[in-house]
Amino acid sequence: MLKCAIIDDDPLFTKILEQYLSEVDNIEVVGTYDNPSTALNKINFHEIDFLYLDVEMPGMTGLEFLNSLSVVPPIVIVSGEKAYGADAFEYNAIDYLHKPISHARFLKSAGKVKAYFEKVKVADITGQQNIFIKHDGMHIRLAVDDIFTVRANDNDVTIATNGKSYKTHLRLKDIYDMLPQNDFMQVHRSFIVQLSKIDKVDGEVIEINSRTIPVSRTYINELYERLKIK
Amino acid sequence: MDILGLKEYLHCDDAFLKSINQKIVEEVKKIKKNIEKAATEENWQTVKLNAHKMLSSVKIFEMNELVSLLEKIEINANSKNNIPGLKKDIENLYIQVEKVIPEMQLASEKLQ
Repeated sequence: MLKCAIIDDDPLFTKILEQYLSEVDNIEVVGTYDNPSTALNKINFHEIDFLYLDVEMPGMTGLEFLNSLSVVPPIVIVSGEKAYGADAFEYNAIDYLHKPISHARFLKSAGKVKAYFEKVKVADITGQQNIFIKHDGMHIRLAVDDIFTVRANDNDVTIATNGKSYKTHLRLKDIYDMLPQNDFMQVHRSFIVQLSKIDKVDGEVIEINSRTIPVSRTYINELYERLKIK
Repeated sequence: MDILGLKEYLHCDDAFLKSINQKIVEEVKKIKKNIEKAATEENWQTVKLNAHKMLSSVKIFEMNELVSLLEKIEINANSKNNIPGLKKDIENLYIQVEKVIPEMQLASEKLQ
């Protein structure tokens, strides 16, 4: 069952959307919010799979709401304005719904939502996972398999892949939560590494892609165990 | 106002259509009050936001005259370029709203 929340200051649209969703299998509305500030405080983002999000709302717009999140969940953008299509694209929205929304158009959109999550499920099974990080003001897709290390700096985090590194304002813990726990391990308070990328282990230092990374004593036994080093 | 067209558009039964109709009436009345207050205070940003909000409610009923008027108010309240014209449009909005509300209520009564 996919769980969603609706953030829209228009009670009429919320009522219609809830009615539409009540007729769709496998999608459940777990919360409705008439402003982004309340949603920000009340939504448990671990409990929802995606959001229906209006753009023009008083106080804080839907786009400002997205910018305030460290991890942007999958979204369906809804708006009375056609002008936000490009924003929907930038935020990798699953769909963009222009109000008012007919039942027929909604059903198409619900189909897109389901297809999106089916694709994510297949990617999970085949191990081809991706994460989105905010880098230079844009949301960038990174293949999890390409990540070598994640390093916490004073004010940001650097994600290193084979050829590139990306700075993002997420916390180390946020990134760790997004990564598959079987493949990644925190080895130091400032470092997360992908275990399969480790080239060498020398006491309390590991080497990945010619870079040395310290391993804290707290993590050393677990590291050796996970790498099956006797 | 084509209530049967709306029923098909929303793919719903009469009970839901009636509740939607009532909701729109409530919203339009509430937003009209908000616009009146904001216009008195010359708070054009609030006028703009409320006009935008009313638009999404009335668009569903294809009230084209009201839609055009609200779009004009939204644009002018945002630009603040023609305040006398804007005030006149807001006065016209009150008249339009008073006209459409009884029509909507009548349509609602006709439903089961």
